[in-house]
Parts: sequence; structure tokens; C-alpha cells
Amino acid sequence: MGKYKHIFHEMKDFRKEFIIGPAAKLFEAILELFLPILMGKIVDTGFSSESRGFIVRTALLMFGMAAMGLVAAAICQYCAAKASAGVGARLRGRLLTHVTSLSVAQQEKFGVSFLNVAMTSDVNQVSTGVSMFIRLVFRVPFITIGGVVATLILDAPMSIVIGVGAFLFLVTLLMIIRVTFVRYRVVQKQLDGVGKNVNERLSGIRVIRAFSREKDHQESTDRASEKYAEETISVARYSALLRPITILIMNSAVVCVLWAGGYHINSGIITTGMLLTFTNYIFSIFDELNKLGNLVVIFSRSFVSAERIESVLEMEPKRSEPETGAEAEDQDDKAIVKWKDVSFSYLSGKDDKEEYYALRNVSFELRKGEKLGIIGTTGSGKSTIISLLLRLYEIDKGHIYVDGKSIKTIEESVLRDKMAPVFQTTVLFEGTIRENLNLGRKTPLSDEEMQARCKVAQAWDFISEKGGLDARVEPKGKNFSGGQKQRLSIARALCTDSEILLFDDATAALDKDTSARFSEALAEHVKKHDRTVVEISSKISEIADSDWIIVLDNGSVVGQGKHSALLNECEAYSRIARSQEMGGVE
Amino acid sequence: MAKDSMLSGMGNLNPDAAKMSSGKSRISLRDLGALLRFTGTSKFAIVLLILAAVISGGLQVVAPYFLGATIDHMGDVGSVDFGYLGTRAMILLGMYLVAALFTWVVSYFANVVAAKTALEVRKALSHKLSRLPVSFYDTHPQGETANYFINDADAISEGMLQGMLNFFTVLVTILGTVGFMIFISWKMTLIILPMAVLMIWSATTIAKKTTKYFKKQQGLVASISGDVEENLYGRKEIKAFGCEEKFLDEFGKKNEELNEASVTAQFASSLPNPVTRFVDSTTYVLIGALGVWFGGLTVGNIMTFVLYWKNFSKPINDLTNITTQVMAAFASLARVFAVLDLPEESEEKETEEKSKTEGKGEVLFEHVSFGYTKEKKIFNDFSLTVEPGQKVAIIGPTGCGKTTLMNLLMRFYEQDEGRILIDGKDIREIPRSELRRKFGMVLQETWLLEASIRENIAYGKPDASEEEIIAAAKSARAHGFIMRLPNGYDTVLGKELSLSEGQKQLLCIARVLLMDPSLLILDEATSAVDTLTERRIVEAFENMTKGRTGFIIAHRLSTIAGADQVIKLGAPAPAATEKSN
Repeated sequence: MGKYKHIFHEMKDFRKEFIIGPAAKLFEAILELFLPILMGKIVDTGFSSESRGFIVRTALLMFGMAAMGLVAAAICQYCAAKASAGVGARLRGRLLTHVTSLSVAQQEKFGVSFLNVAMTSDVNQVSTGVSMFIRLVFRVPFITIGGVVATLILDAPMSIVIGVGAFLFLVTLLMIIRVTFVRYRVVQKQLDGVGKNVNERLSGIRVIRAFSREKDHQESTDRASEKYAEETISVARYSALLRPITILIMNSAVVCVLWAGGYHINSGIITTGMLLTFTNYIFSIFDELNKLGNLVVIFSRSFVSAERIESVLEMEPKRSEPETGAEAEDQDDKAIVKWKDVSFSYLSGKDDKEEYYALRNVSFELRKGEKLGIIGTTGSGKSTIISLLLRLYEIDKGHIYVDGKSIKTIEESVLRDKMAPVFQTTVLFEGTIRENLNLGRKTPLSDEEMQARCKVAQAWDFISEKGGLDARVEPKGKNFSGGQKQRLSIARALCTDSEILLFDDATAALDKDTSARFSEALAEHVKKHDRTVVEISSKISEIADSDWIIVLDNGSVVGQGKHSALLNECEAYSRIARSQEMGGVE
Repeated sequence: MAKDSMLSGMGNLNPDAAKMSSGKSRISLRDLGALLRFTGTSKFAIVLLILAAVISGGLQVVAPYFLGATIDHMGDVGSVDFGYLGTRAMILLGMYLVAALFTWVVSYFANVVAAKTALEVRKALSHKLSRLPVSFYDTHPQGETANYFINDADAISEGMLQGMLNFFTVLVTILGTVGFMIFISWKMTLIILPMAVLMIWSATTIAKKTTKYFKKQQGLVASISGDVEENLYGRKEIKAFGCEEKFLDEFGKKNEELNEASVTAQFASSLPNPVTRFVDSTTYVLIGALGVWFGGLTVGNIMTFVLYWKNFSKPINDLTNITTQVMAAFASLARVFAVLDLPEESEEKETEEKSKTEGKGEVLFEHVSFGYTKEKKIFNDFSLTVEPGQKVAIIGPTGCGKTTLMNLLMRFYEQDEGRILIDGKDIREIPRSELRRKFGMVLQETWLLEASIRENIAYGKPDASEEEIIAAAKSARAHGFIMRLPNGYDTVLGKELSLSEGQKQLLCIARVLLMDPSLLILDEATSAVDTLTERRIVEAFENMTKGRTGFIIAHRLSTIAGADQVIKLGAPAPAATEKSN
């Protein structure tokens, strides 16, 4: 039980539904079990003027029972719908809240697609399981066992025939399902193979055509499809057995009842009408057992999903212990940000993580109102600096101080309020432009001010073209071009009141002219609003005017200082500068 | 069978079922004929299947009658004829055995035919993919096209399976059952048939009524899934801008709305079961009570009628699921045919000999006009002469159609007007494969196979020798890093490791160098890498372009330094300027 404790917890509020639902279903089942007996009675009575009243009364009774059964079933279905939708909604809500509270590192441990599946299809699967539980879990065994017991009362040996038949039926059913269920996984894998193959072909269409390799790829797709077809057919060898064998077992049971019934009729133990009763029991029992097959499949899927959901909810949002004492403070009133021997690896938990440090012993200082430039090749750890500043990840070694306080002692919301980032990959949210720009604000910015800041970001022209601040932003901002998205995300950062602006290759998608206009406007804006800037770039021209420049190579600082000094002193910096000088000539 | 019972079990919560049943699609003879196109190899299996279906369906009608007759004739207390009963029971058992055997034949061959049909559909699509013009791939999202292969082909096969499993058997069973019922008692038949109609009516009416609830639920599910995705996708932003609460609140509201909609939708969709069960029970009562009342029916007759009613109610209960799947199959079939009917790249005679890439690499554009759409011309009466060995740089802002030149040269697209000549020959007269072999192409997006490095370099020349491969890697400046990989040239990409973008690009260059083409096209090949890596790639380029005619598409000026001609795109008609420096 403990294994699924979070899910059971969400079920607690539906205790009422979990009791009333199955109880109503049970009531319907009891009524159903009486019908074959009454039917047998009617048939045995036969028609005569005296029996007319009995037949009418019994028929009306049966009809009434069926009607009551319908009402009971409807109550159960409602309970099932309410509980299953409710548990689903609660799990979804809880999952999202929980995932949001996890650190980025923890989220990445699961992977975005895993979390997505957990919150959508896994929740649906569990919700289906809940519904099926309420609707069928009591009905199936009750009708089965009830049917056998009723026969036992009417004619004991006959119940053995039915019981053995039911048992055989169940065993065959479960065996075939088991065999095919395992094989379907293989089939699924083959289908994934087809998909992978086709996708490779589609994404490389130009290269394939350029090298005239269409035929080979076509053949390999065909081979993958053939494998899939073969596998499907091999599963069919087993799955095709299910229907004939189970029906045969059921019909054999009917024949046995008929044959054994002959003896009991002869000795007067039962009437011919009761043959009808038994046959009806066989039908309802086997009907229910058939559903059991579905139930097994649905539940096994639900449990797999439940485990995935639990694994997410199990993870505790992790924070390092707040630092206290001397390490917590760093008395240097001029530095707004200070890094002291910071090392960090994305592979937390690995023993040999030192080998995989993304940043190694990084130290630097940033003073209020200044601009810090960070440069380096791809993979040198530039972007990591921003992630660590925002405390999206926890550092492994060293200290980061903001306003003289270790960031581990600063409340997360306060820390992040201080900084406004523009990430390398732009993310916009569905809604209006205004909503997107107000993202980091508690109180909305006035239209005039917003417009002014959009102008700094060189975004106002296309915003007004799209219809102003209330223009729609589609999911992932797909109604904007790459450059427009980037400018909107710059504007979003500018629209906050944060002291420090963090730019991570924020102008990569802008053309030279726009990017130059932006730099100029930004300098003015920064002065006016007294802001501090961290700018990461792979282009020297973007950061040459910085008050301080850090050169990163493979996670280590290989040089820092001003542009002119670095050109002479730092080999890595001058190498980058040389490689870009060709581009500088226009 | 396990698969379809799984599906039917989840029918109530299966969103697709509701989506599909709302879509209006009608089965036409044309579609059926089209479907037969794909069953080519399995015609024999289909005949066998129909035969088996008729036999097993027929036995489902005969057996209940035989059973009823046995009950009526075996005698009563003290007078049961055991010899008669034993024989009849054995015959009955035999009938059921034969019926089971033929049901198996139907099931198995239906599966086989369905799987083979899906295979044929996939093969036809696969064949088509090799022949569709590049413009198809540029205008159709990849996921959509892949979907034809995966889901549509499967939907067709699933629909066929359900159709074949049920159609013939049910047809024979229902016709036979009605015949035998009339034979036993036409009065009872008159009572039972309306009940069957009532059952169909109630099931379909409820299903129809619930569609709108389902649609509402589906809309909310889609919107919530979008929210979940957005929350995950923008998770860094949400944290960095401290707006977790805002997003959770919004989600919470929508989630509650979905909860309410789901309760209604699920409740409504779970009603057909009890309602049909109620009609079912009522019919039993009617058979029993009225059968006796009318006096015409014996115990055996009633037994027969009860079994016959089963023959009706089972297919009726499955009706909605089966029609849904069959409809989905036809919808998929229509989508697949829409692709298969698209015009292909024009056929051309393969030249008998793979003529070596001779020629010096002279390129002429004569009054070429081209636009992807009629309204917007990229090239208008464009002429250009490229001497062998010259380098041509193409520059312009993003989206101006810089890759168009490559598309035309390699005949991925055909120009609207004018001629393009390579070494004096109109490219439309050169078979595509031969033309393309003349070119070495390096694109911005590196595309490599999930195969060994060796196979990737030898992609254009699978029979290349080890020496050739290593030589190509060396001149692409890739040999060094390849040797540092765990398995050298045998390292499998994708599975064992992923390379950096720059390393991948060097492999793409090696791949081209091995082909020893006389013309080169470099399309933004360095825009995804930083400037230092770019240096290495440029070095490899310079090595590669020696003595070859080259077209270089770039937005970084560094890449195009030293070009003999520069073409600026973006203006309505491109202006060619001589010499950049």
C-alpha cells in the first residue's frame, strides 16, 4: 500500500464514491442473479388459465428488478465518473505543483518528456483504472461466484460443471492475454523502428537525394515494415486462439449441463426449465470473466502509470542547507555579485564528477552599474554561469555572493527578483504580448513605459504591426520569427524592475544593424535605470565595451580584464579575436 | 484478439473514439476498391476467410435450434432417453468444435490479411517517398508524414481486421437467425426484432448525445496538455521570473473545469452498458413470459430463442466500437491516398553507365526565373556565368531564399523559366542522380545516419576502400578526432555517443570529399558553430574548394572572404557583383 501512498491519498476524499459505487453495482448483480431462476419458474409452470396470474406477476417482478438494476447501475456509473475524474484532476494538479517546486536539476533528472507523460497520459491511465475498479471489480467476482453458488443450491453436481468450466475459461483467457501482452511489446518496438526509419528518411531528404541513396532507404523502410508485419502475424497466432477457445469452453459447458441435466431430470432433481436457468448462468458468468481479461490489462497499465507518478511525487524538493557564520557574508559593499572558487557539474551524484565539471574554480566580481562580458567557445560553460546565478542549479564547490550575502541564504524569490534573464533559447508563453512582458512583475507596467522599453529592445515596430500590446502570442510564440521572439524576450527582461540583466547570446538571431541599435539603446537604458548587466556572447564585438571581461575555456577562466588588456595578455581571447576579425571587415 | 478487447475495454475513456465518431465519413465503393489494391497477395486468404465465416456463422444458427430440439425430445422425469441424449450431445459438441475451428480460421486470416494490407500500404508510401519532389517535404510537417506510416497504416489494418472478423459472420448469423426464428414462431419474432431495434437505437442515441460532452472534454484535455507542455518547456523562465503561482493558479482553474466536464462525459459515456443490459433483461422476460403465454413455445424453443437473442445482442453491443474503427480506417485510407495520388518527380531514363563526374564545373544561368509561389519571385530573369574553379558567395537576410540556388542547381525544384547549364549541358537533360553526383553538398543541419563513422563517410560511395575513407577524413580534418573516439572509425553515432555540431560538420565534409565532386555547395555550413570551430571547418573548406567550382551560402562574412563573385539576395532581382575583395 505504501508504494502508492500519494495516489491513495488523493483517493481519500472520494471514500463515499468508492463505497456507494460498488455497493450499487452489487445490488444490480444480485437482482441479475434472480432473473434466470424466475425465468425457469415461468417456463416450468407452462401456460394454463390458472398460471396466467403467476406469469404476469413474475414477469412484472422481473421487469421491475431489471428497472431497479438500471437505476443502481446508473448510480454506480456516476460514482465511478466522479471519482475517476476527480482523482485524475487532483493528481494532475498535485503533480504540476510538485514538479514546479522541484529544482531544474531535479526536473532534468526525470526528463521533460517523462514528466509530460506522467502528467497527461499516466494520470489518464490511473483515472481509467479508478473508474474500472468501481464499476467492475466487485461485479465480476460477485456474478461469477454468485452464479456458481446459485447453481450449487439448485443442483450441486451441476455447479461443479459450471465451476470447472469457469475455471478453465479463466485460465485460458489469462494465459493467452499474458502471452500476447508480452509479445505486443515486441510488436510495439518494431513499430517504433518503422517510425524511426521513416523519420530519419524525412529529415535527411536533401542529403539522401544529393547522394542518390533513395533506393537503399526505401528498402530499409520496407524491411522494417516487413519485420513489423511478421511480428504482428506471429502474435496473431496466439491472439486468434482467444475467441474460438473461450467460446468452445463456454459451449462445452452448456452441452455438459444438457447431458448431466438429462440424468437429473430423469430422477426428478431438476425440471427442464432449470436447464434454461443454468444456461443463463453460464452466459452471464462467462460474460463477466471476459471483462476480467480487459480488467487485467487495464489494471496492469494503471499500475505501471501509478508507479511513474509516484516516482515523481516521491522526489523531495531539494535545497542545500543555508550557510551561516563567516561564510555566509562577504563584506565588499561595491560588489553586487561575487564568485569565489565556484565549481559545478551537471552530473550530480557521479563519483568522478570532477572530471565532468562544467565550471571549475571560477572567481570574479561584478560591481553595481557595470557591465560584465563573458566570452568563450561553445561548451565552455558560459550559459552555466547564468543558471547558477539564478540558482536553477546548486553549486558543488565555492560560494556565490549577491549583495554580500551567500545566495544560499537568500530567499529564492528575492534572489530571482533581483535578476532578469534573456536565455539563449527563447521561450514565450501563450497569451498576449502584454501578459508575456508582465511575466516578471507583480504589478503591471504602464503602457507608455512598456512601449518605451520595447523600443529599447527594438521590438516596438513589429509589435505595433501585429496590433499592439494586446496581440496574441501563440503557444511557443510560433507566430513570431526567431529574431522577433528574441527581441520580445529582451523586452520581457527590460520590463522587470530587476537590478541585474542577464543576456545569454541574446542577439544571436538579430541582424547586425538591429543588434547595433539595440546595444546603443541598452546602454542608455541601463544608465537611466541604474542597472547592472551580464552579457554572454561568442562575438567579441558584443562585449568589447564591457567594464570587465571573463574568458572561459572548457569551464575554466583563462583570462579576465578589459578588452585592450586581454588582447595582449590572453592567448585564448586574442585567438577568438583573430578568428572574428575576418568577419569584422565589411 | 487481446488487442481489440483491450481497446473496447477502454472505449469509454478513449478520446479518439469520440473524435472519430463525430467526423462524418462515408464508405464508398471507390474506397473499398482502393483498399483491395493493397490486399493483392492475400486474395486466397480472403476467400478462405469468407468461407470459414459462413460456416461458423451458420453453425451459430443451427446449434441453438438443435439444442432446443434435444431438450424437447429427450423426455421427462423417469422417461429420459439417454441413448438419444448422448448422441445428440456428442453431435452438438462436434458442431461447436467445428464452429470454433472455423472461428479460428477467420480470426487468424483476418489478422494476416490486415497485417499484410498494412505492409502493402507502408510499402506503397515508402516507394512514394522516394519519388515525391522535395517541395512536398518542404511544405509538409515531418510528423504528419511519419504519421501516415505509423498511425494511418495501423488504423487501416485495425479497421480491416474488425470488419473482416465481424462483417461476414454477423451477416450470416443474423440472416440465418431471423429465418429460423420465423420458422419456429413468427409471433415471437415480431416481438424480438423490435427489441433488437430498440437496443441499437438506445445505444446509438446515447453515443450521439454524449459526443458533445466528449468534445468539450477533449477540448479541455488538449488545452490542459498544452499548459503542461508550456509549463515544462518554459520551466526555467517560470522560475527565473518567479511566476510559479500565476501559472499554477491558471492551471488549477482549467483543471477544475476539466474535472467537471470529465464527470459528465464519463458518466454519459458509461450509460449505454447498463441501458443495453436493461433492454437485454427485458427481452429475456418477454421471451419467457410471452413465449409461454402464447402457448406456442416449448422449453426447448425458449432455449433456442434465448440463444438467438444472444446472436443479436452481442454484435449490437460491439457495433459502436467496430463502426468507429472501420470509419477511422477509411479516414486514414483517404489520407494515405491523398499522398499516393500526389504528382511525382518526372520519370527519367537512368543512364546505363554511372558516368564519372567528369567536366570542369562550368555553370551558366540563362534568364532564370523562379519563385516558390507565383506571387513572389526569388529570381527574375537571372543570369550568371561561373567559370570552372570560381567561388560564388550568396548572401542576404534570413528568409530571402538563399538556398533557392542550391534547390535549382540540384533540381530539388525546377525553375519556371530560363535554362541552367553545367559544362554546356542543360541540367534538365541530365538524369537527377547523375546531376546530383556532380555536386558535393554541405548543409547547415548536419544529417548523419545512426551507423558507424565509416558508413557515414562512405554514404555516397558504399564500396569505398578503407584508404579512401581515411584519406577523405584526413583532408576534412576529421581523422584526428575520429581516432580519439572509443572505436575509431567503427564508433556508432547516436547510440554510443553524440558528437559536437562542429565534429558532425567535419564528417559531412569528409562524406562529400570522398565523392570527389566537381562542384560544391556549402549552405550556411558554419552558422551553428562558434568561431573557433568555424576556423577548422573553413580550413577544411579551403582544402575542399581547391580546383572546384563552389557556391557558398552564408550570413557570416568571414566564410565568404575570397569569393570571386558575390550575389546579394533579398531585392526582387538579385544583383551580381564581381569580386568581394
